[in-house]
This record gives sequence, structure tokens and C-alpha cells, in this order.
Amino acid sequence: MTHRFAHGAMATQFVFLVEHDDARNAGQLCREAFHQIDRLETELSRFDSSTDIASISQLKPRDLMVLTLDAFECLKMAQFVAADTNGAFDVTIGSVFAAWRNPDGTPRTPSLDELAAARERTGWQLLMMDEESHFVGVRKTGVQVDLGAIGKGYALDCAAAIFEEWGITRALLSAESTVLALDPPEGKEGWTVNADAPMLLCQRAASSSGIAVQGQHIFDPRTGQPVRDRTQVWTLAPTAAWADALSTAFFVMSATEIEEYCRQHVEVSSIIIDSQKRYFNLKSNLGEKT
Amino acid sequence: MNIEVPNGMTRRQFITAGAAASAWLAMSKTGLAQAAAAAPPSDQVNVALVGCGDQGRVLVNACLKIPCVKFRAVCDIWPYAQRYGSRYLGKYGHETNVYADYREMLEKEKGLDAIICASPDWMHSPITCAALEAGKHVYCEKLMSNTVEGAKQMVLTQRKTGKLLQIGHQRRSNPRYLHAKNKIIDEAHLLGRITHASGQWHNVKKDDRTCAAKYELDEATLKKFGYDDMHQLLNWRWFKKYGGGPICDLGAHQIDMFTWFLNANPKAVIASGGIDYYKTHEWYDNVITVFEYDTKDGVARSMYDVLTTTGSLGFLEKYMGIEGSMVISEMPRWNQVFREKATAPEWTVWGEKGLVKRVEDTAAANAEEKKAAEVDVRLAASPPPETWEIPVLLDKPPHQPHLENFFEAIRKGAPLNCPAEVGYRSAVAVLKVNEAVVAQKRLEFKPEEYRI
Ligand SMILES: NC(=O)c1ccc[n+]([C@@H]2O[C@H](COP(=O)([O-])OP(=O)(O)OC[C@H]3O[C@@H](n4cnc5c(N)ncnc54)[C@H](O)[C@@H]3O)[C@@H](O)[C@H]2O)c1
Repeated sequence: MTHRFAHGAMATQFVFLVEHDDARNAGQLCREAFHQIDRLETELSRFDSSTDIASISQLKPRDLMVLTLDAFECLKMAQFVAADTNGAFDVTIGSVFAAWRNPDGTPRTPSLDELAAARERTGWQLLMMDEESHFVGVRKTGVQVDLGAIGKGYALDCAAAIFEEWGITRALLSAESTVLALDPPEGKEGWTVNADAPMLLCQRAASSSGIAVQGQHIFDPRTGQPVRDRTQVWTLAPTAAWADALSTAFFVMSATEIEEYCRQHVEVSSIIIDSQKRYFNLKSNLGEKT
Repeated sequence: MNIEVPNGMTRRQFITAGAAASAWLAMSKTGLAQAAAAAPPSDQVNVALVGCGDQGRVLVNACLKIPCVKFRAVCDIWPYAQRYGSRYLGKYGHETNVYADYREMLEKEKGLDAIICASPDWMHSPITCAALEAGKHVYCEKLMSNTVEGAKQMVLTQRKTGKLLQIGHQRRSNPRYLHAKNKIIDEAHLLGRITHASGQWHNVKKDDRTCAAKYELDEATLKKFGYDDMHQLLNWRWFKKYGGGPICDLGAHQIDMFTWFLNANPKAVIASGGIDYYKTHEWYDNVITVFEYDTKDGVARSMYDVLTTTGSLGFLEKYMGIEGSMVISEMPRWNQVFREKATAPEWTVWGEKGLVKRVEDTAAANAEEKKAAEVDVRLAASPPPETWEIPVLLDKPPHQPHLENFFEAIRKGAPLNCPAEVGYRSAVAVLKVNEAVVAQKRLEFKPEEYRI
């Protein structure tokens, strides 16, 4: 039997499908996983001035701040993807986001000066981290970190670890546009996930980004400009945090750049769906399929 | 037609991408490692944590930001929590010994200076008293104890030993609360005579806690430490033996704030509550109370409710006076000070002094214009209050300032923000609420109830 459990957190809906004989036990497991996700929401939030992530914006060069383990791990993953994509993914983009929004959240267009000032304080290389001490430091004052494009994926990975702990592993964990498939339902090869066309996932994460997702803006950290009208991109990776981050990176990268990235990382692949609903699988070089 | 999912490493083969990220971080020379290593050592306070559940972990995270704190031991009756705590601390370079029994820990760990107690409420008193007797300073979570007798023992033991005892009502060290109380209310008297306070803590419906079967404690161990079963250990706050229910768990914070802000202990209480929703609990899932106070300015009353089946508006307190009112919370968004235009002098001068900050309210400005044009009698009878805010933000984890105050007291003799007597008076006030629910009538506090 497959059971469905849902929980609102991190401004989204987490939906877990669990195949397990004992519905009550599956529910208890999900309750504990959701409990940890609520904790992560607090630890990774940038909205509450008392969190580590919000406090980074107050740091001056030479200040050192200890991060909680989860804030550190999530930020480390973000920095890794940033370095690896030459800054196409970048969680220091908070100032750019802020420049494109009014205080009440409605969109606005910043002046060139405003944008330049925001870009001054953007760039993954402005953050420094040390694993031994779990310190973070900045090269400039006023770096605003926003983990919105990786936090949900990170939370799914943490949930997966709890599923492993409980020994219940036939499950599909999802948060908005990121899904993490653990073991498949009995007798199946994977969980069917609908990416315009269905795909089968097992022990793998998939994340999509694109204009289809709630009209939400994605900015190119390399230019500070919003990216409009691209095709939809699906990213497949071994962990949800990685897939989540890469789906944003791939949305701003060119097809050639994506292809190159996938070539360099055996464990990552990407599927681009264009406006005619043709898809290009950049991993297996399947080329165009109709 | 299916999308073909290309092969590649699976999640299990590649359990954490974190490993790749770590390898990358180790390779990238950021220069921070050196700076971190050079961070000045300060005189250390050797600390043990007792009770490594949710709150124990929150306190650990806050302590890791206080350079003088060195964890030496973790004590929890549950190996799962014990392991979690010691592994977590190990990652931050704190090597800790682990114990199940706090008595054994106190006997063996000779070098400890202080204990942080985040056990279920019923163990606060025995753990704290034993630690004080062993010559340790103690930071003990609120509610001080689930019984008045237990709390009294703590005060007496503190006095006898002369060691420090800080009770974990962390708002008493929160810079926003300190500013609101010391500057806005006491110094500038901006609210005028405060006649009423209200507050709430609303938590969304939650199912009971459980754990993976393989981590359940065996019956013998549970019995040894006084728990009937695993369900009660994990959900202790709902059972009469171990805690006082939501009014003690959540209400304790805000009822303590009323006492502080009104500068008076409650003199009477009425309350209503019940087990109206949950089927597996002993304690009331909701309680609504009214307290009466004799403040130096006159009588004041407070209304407070704790609900655990709705998250509506979260948790906040409100103070209402003749000249103004204030909404405040540990949640940053509740931060408003309203000037009653009809009764209060201008606050411009206080704005200039930085005591309060004006919030530009466009809606009110529009209403003003409209009023000028149309002469709205209702608006004229009761002008909308003018909105200001408390210009102080908490930019640290909520418990950090309170822990800092505790460690400052140990190292430099700073006065504690919530010493034993203060925690005791709060416990007396809070615990009476449950009595009032049973009594179904107004209960009075005798002044000597607050004295030891
Ligand atoms: N100040 C705050 O904001 C705040 C917030 C939450 C909880 N608290 C307080 O913190 C305390 C702990 O609450 P929690 O939510 O972490 O509960 P919890 O159930 O998550 O954790 C309690 C831990 O104590 C352990 N324990 C039980 N008996 C013990 C004993 N005799 N010796 C050692 N360890 C023992 C349990 O195994 C568990 O790991 C309570 O007093 C609670 O009121 C304070």
C-alpha cells in the first residue's frame, strides 16, 4: 500500500509517498521527518534576523561566525555547486533579489546604480568557510545569503536519512519541483515522475526549473538580470540538494555549458524540454527525440 | 512515451554530495582556517549538557557561538540522544564523555564548572540540586520545576551552595525585550499606566512523537529512570508525572513576561481548559486564563491563552496602557508600539532619542487626508493610533544572550537576568493555573507564596 503524507514548510508543500504495510508506522516516520524539516526551516531561514543565514549579512571582513551543522552543510553544498558551475548558481544573490523587489515583495526594476551596488555584494567567492571550525567569514560587508534554491533539496536529503534510519525505504519524497526517489515500490523499477513525459526514478533526485514554476523569477548571478523565456530543464543527480541547486544553475547556463557539466560529472544528467515539447537528453547524447 | 533516465551513480552509491563538497572545500584555500585557528583562546568554562533532546540541541548551537564554552560531557538516559549530542559536539572539536545517569556524571567529571539542564521538567529539581551540591553552576530550562516544592528546593540549594542558578526564561536577556521594558516602559513611560496585558501561544496541531523501533529503550532502562514507556518519555510534556502541560511548557514564557513588564506578581487567577482534542494525553490541550495584579500604578489584568490545535498568529504579548500599547514577541514580526493620539503627548522626541522608531503608515496617511476632506465623525471620535516600532533587533539565536549572561556571571560576576528567586515566582504563578482549571473558581495568591 502506498500512503501519502503532506506537510507545509519552507513556503512549500512537502509530499511523501511511502509504500509500507503499516500505515501508522509510515505516518509516524513522516511526522518525525517533518519535525526535522521544521527545524531546518528555522535554521536555514533568511527572514528571521536571529538565524545564522540572516546574520551573515551583518558580518564584516575579519569577523568569524560559527554556523549550525545544517546551515554549514547546506551552505557548503551551495558553494560547491557555485564553484563547479562558475557562479551560474550562487546563494549570495540575496542583494540582487532585493534590488528587483519592493519592500512588500512586488516586482520593480532597479536603476543601474542600484543593480551595480547589489552586484558588488554578490559572488560566491565573497564567502569563506572552514570545515574544522564551522566558521564562515566574508570578504565584503553586506553579503546576503538566500538558500531558497537549495534548502528544499537539502531538507529532502535530511528526510531521506531519517527514512534510512527507520528502515522504511520504499518512498518518493518531494517538495515543489524537486523529487527524491528512494527505493521503488515492490516489483517496480522506479517511481514514475511526470516531467511532461513520465520518467522512472530510483535512488535518484530530479529537479525542474523553468517558467512553468509559478512564474517565479530566476536571476542570472553572473549578470544580475532575470532570465526569461527559457525552456524547462530537468536535472537528475544523486542527491536532492545537488539536483535542486543544479536545476537553477542549468536554467541560466547555455545548452553547451550544461552538456559540458554533465560530461564532467558522471552522476549528473539533464533533460531540456523546449517549447515544442521536444526533449533533449544531454547525458546519453540521445539527441533530439519526438 | 517515457523519458529515458540515463544511468549514473545512485543516491546510495553517492550517499552525500556533502562528501564531494567537503573534498572541494578542503582543496580550496580560503584562508579562513588560519584565521579560525588564530581566534584568541579565552578563559574556558567547562560545561556538561544534561538532556540532549530538541531544546538541548538548541542550547548547544547557541553555546557553540560563545567562545569561552567548552563541553566536556553529555548526559541523557537515551543512548540515541546521547550519541547525537556527543557526535555533534565532536564535529566542533568538543570531546565529550557520555553518561546516562547525571549522578554518575557528577561523581566522575571533576573538572566541570557548569551544567546546562534541558531534561523534562520533573527532573529539573533533582538534577539542578545535585549539580549545585556538587559545586557546579547551573543553567536550568524553564519551567523551573513542575512542582512548587521542587522549585523551592532549587532556591534553597542555590542559597546554601552559593553557586549560580539561571532559569531559562530567555526573553529576560533578549535585547528587544530589555529595550522595551527598561527604556520604553520604565524610562519614558510611553504606555502610561498599563491597565491590561494579553498574550497567546498557538501551536498547530501535532501528532505524538515516536522514534524508529531500533532506538526504543528497553523496559528495564525506562523503569530505572522513572518512565512508564517510550511513548511517555518522548511525549513527557503531556503527562502529569513529568510536566505541567502547555501552560507550563509555553505559557511559562509569557506569564513570566507579564510579571516582569508589570513589575508585579499575580494576586489572583481564573482559568478554563480541557482535554478537548487529543485522545492520548493527560494534560489540557488548551487553557485560557485571566490574572489580576496590583501594580504600583493600580490594578491590572492579563488575558492569556495557550492553544495546541491551531497555529493562528503564533506567539506574542501585548501591553495596553492609557497612552499607548505595545505588541512584542520573540518572533521578529510582532513589533509594534502604538501611540494613543487622544491621550498621549507627541513621541517625536523619543523617536529622536532612538527609543522608538516611526513606521510610515501609508494607509493611515490616506485616511488622514480623507478625514480632512470629509470630516468623518467616527475617525474624529477615535483617531487611529500612530504606529511606531521597537528599534532593536535580536541578531543572535534567541537563547544566546541568556546563556551569555550566565557565562558572564560565572566569569565576571555579572548579575543574572533570571536568578532562582525570579524563576521561582514565575513557577508559582504558572503552576496555579492548572489548579484554577480544576477548582473552576478564582484562586488568590497569598503574598507569602512568592517568598522563601
Ligand atoms: N526556553 C525555551 O524556549 C524552551 C523550548 C523548548 C523546551 N524547553 C525546555 O527544555 C526542556 C527539554 O525539552 P525538550 O523539548 O528538549 O524535550 P525532549 O523530550 O526533546 O528532550 C528531553 C531529553 O531529556 C532526556 N531525559 C529524560 N530524562 C532524563 C534524565 N533523568 N536525565 C537525563 N536526560 C533525561 C530525554 O531522553 C530527551 O533526550 C524542558 O524543560 C522544556 O520545558 C525550553
